[in-house]
Amino acid sequence: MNFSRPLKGLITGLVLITSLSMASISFAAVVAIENAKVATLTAAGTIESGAVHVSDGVITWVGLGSDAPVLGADAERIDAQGHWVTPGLIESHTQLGIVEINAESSSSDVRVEEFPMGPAFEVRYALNPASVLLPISRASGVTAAVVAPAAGNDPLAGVGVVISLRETLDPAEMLLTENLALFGGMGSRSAKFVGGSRSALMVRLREALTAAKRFSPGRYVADERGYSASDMAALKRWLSSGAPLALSVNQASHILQALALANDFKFPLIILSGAEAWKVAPQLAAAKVPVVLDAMANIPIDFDSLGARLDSAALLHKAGVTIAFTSENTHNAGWIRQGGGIAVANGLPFDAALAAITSGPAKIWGLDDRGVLAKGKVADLVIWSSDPLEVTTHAEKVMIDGEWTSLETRQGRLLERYRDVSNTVTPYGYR
Amino acid sequence: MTPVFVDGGAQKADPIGSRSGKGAAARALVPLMSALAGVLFAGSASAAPYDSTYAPLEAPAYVIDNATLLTGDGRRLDGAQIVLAAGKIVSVGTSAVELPANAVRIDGTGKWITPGLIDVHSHLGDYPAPAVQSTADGNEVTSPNTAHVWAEHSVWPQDPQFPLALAGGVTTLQILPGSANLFGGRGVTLKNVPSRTVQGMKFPGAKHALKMACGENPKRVYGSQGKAPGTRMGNMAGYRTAWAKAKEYVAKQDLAKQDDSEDPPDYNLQLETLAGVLRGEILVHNHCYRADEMANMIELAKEFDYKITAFHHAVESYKIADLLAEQNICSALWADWWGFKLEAFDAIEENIALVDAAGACAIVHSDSERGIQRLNQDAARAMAAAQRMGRDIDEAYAITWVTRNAAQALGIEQETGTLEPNKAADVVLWNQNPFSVYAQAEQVFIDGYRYFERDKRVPVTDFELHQTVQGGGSR
Repeated sequence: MNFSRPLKGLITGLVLITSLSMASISFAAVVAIENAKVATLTAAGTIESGAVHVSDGVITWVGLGSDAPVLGADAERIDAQGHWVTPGLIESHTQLGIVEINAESSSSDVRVEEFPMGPAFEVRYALNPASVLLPISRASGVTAAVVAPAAGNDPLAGVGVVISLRETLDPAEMLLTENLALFGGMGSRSAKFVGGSRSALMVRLREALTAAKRFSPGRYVADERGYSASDMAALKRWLSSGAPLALSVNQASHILQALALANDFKFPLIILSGAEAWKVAPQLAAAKVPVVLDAMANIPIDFDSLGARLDSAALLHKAGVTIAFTSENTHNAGWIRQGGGIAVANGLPFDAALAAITSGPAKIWGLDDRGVLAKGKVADLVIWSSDPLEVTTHAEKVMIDGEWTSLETRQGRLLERYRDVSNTVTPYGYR
Repeated sequence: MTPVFVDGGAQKADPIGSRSGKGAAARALVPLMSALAGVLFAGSASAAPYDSTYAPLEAPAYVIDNATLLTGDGRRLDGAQIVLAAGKIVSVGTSAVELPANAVRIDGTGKWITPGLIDVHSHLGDYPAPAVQSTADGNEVTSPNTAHVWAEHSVWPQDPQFPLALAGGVTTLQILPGSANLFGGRGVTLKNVPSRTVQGMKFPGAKHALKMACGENPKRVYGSQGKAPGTRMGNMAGYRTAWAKAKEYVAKQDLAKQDDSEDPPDYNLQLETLAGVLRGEILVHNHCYRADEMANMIELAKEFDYKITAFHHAVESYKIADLLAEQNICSALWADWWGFKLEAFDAIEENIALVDAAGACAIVHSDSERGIQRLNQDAARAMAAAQRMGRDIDEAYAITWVTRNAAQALGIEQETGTLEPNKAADVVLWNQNPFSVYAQAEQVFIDGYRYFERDKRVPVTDFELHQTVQGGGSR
């Protein structure tokens, strides 16, 4: 995929960073993570007794510890005690930063309902860097996440972004990409909006895309229940940007329709969910269309997903399809590790599972400077207590942009308050 | 409710109880359902209406050698043997016993064995897959008090999610009505066996549950319709009104038993369920998230003198773990699911660890068709959180959260939930430590019958035939 991503390099980014953060960044010192099992997610593979050097937010060296360059006296040396170090996890489908509590509509900006807006909807204006979900996700090892609009009424739900989970108070600083992808769905919910049939949905999409190509604001007259001028302008913008359409679609036949649509209108396609994608894996591989899936989704939960199975990821990988995992649970984004583990138990090679939560999503979403541990890449990484895919493993240290981030969470504060309910020294409310 | 006259055949099942010696009119007042069932089951006089028709299948004896056993009562036995025969566990451990003739020997080297997992909170069958409108039978959202509905009457035994749960090692599960109502109805405990009828799945002798619900759901569902309850205080008023009526109902029934001149109250399905609780015949399983609401429910139980068996979801149990221990109330919990609603906002990963540390009964439950497939992994997460906060516990201890403690909350701890001689041979053979994400149940036994053999012999529901991926394991 070759679409524009106004991703700012770190140096450009630093210009924007507040003086407070500036003070905390040490430009000269090298952080060296030593005695680590380094999963590079590159051709270098996993290096036992490895080391990673970081400076100015960027990885400066990765390799066998015994080969490491000599460190200055001011280097911060971290003994990983043989534990795993991986790239920071990238969750490929969340609503992080745009929802606090799903059931409280006043705390949620994830979708447009009861208002005619589809492709023109953009999640980025609602991003809240103070969301308590961000530290919780960060503490689980997630360092970047796709933030996508949730399915609303329109088959095209709007434009998503990728955020970094770096500590910041400025929503603009969260953005790694702005115009990441247009999100949509071919589920029965989306079809309802156009009368109840997936055929009608396809007709609408094809008509809208055709019209968008020649859209001109002055001359456009919206049909009744057709797209507004702002939606059409957004569609045209997206089509010409080269950004992908990330389409939530499960039934194999619908996936083929989506492939045909992408082929006809020349846009990159990403399949989300894809319960039956394994059935059309060769076609997806040939079209270089990746799949973002929930590795735990094995239930024939609707008539689109009768072919759901636990070894979907293994089958797709074997066929050469690039995959990424999502937990499909914004509050528990860290569950993507468990999904990875379950995929391994069902035949996916371990390295491929690790890739599906690091380098795979980086590739799919065009995050060229993340997702692997290699010289020159942004230093987003995690030291794990053990095997990163195990449910009993936790993130010991999380680095974003070369900075060790706080692992303090609101949940951690609750634990401290209630760790000892028999405490009679400090009254409730003051702990 | 139209009273109907029935013949003596249904008397045995008369849910009002024995009223011999009362007037003829009162004796004839039995529910329509009993009447119909009496006709349907005419000829099989032994089974009361709706009773379990489950019978263990015949199976050979099994001897599994040299495995790691987590017994479900806190012990871990390495290199141990377990013998199953005639539906029961014959022996557990390394001591040599006389092996049954023709026993099937299984090499357990490198494998782990646990009791069959038990999920105390499931909606399988009531909310089956595919999850479409025509199968959504889990929540009778028509009145805040539907104590008269029974979850078992919605269970579709062909739900493809049952075999998926079996592949996750679940041998017993409680199906509860949903949580829209203050009183959702009766729950039922099932054996996770393929069956044409729900009666064929019912755990023989297991008590019914009464599903109650606190908090956001009832007040939202009814308040938004301009009906009561619209607030949490409205919730409480709703429970109290109903319990007061149930008290009166029970008092009238008791009086009629003692005094022939007193007529029993009109038979009332709703009040029968509440009366069953007051008499200790039905266990209260109470959906309740917030600590302060659980405390209110404890007061409510005090006011009307009933026992709360377990709070479900209970994401704030850790805030009142001491109170729950004192009251001997179980908490059925998720490891770390949170934030989907405000009353789930204060969930912490250490909830199970803290409840357990306070000496209260902790259970890992699913309330999820996904979670039920990996209760062992949720227990693993909860165990890891406990260890991180400094508790010295291991797998042998943590497995009790999905076995023994769950059995206790369902009142079936004498039958299942631990690996002990003479208990039901409800057993899971795992290919490795079940607290690993990579572990899979290889074989699952229920009452000694091998219902699941990964990649070899796996139940397939009618619905799945010729349309889903079959073979359970990879599904």
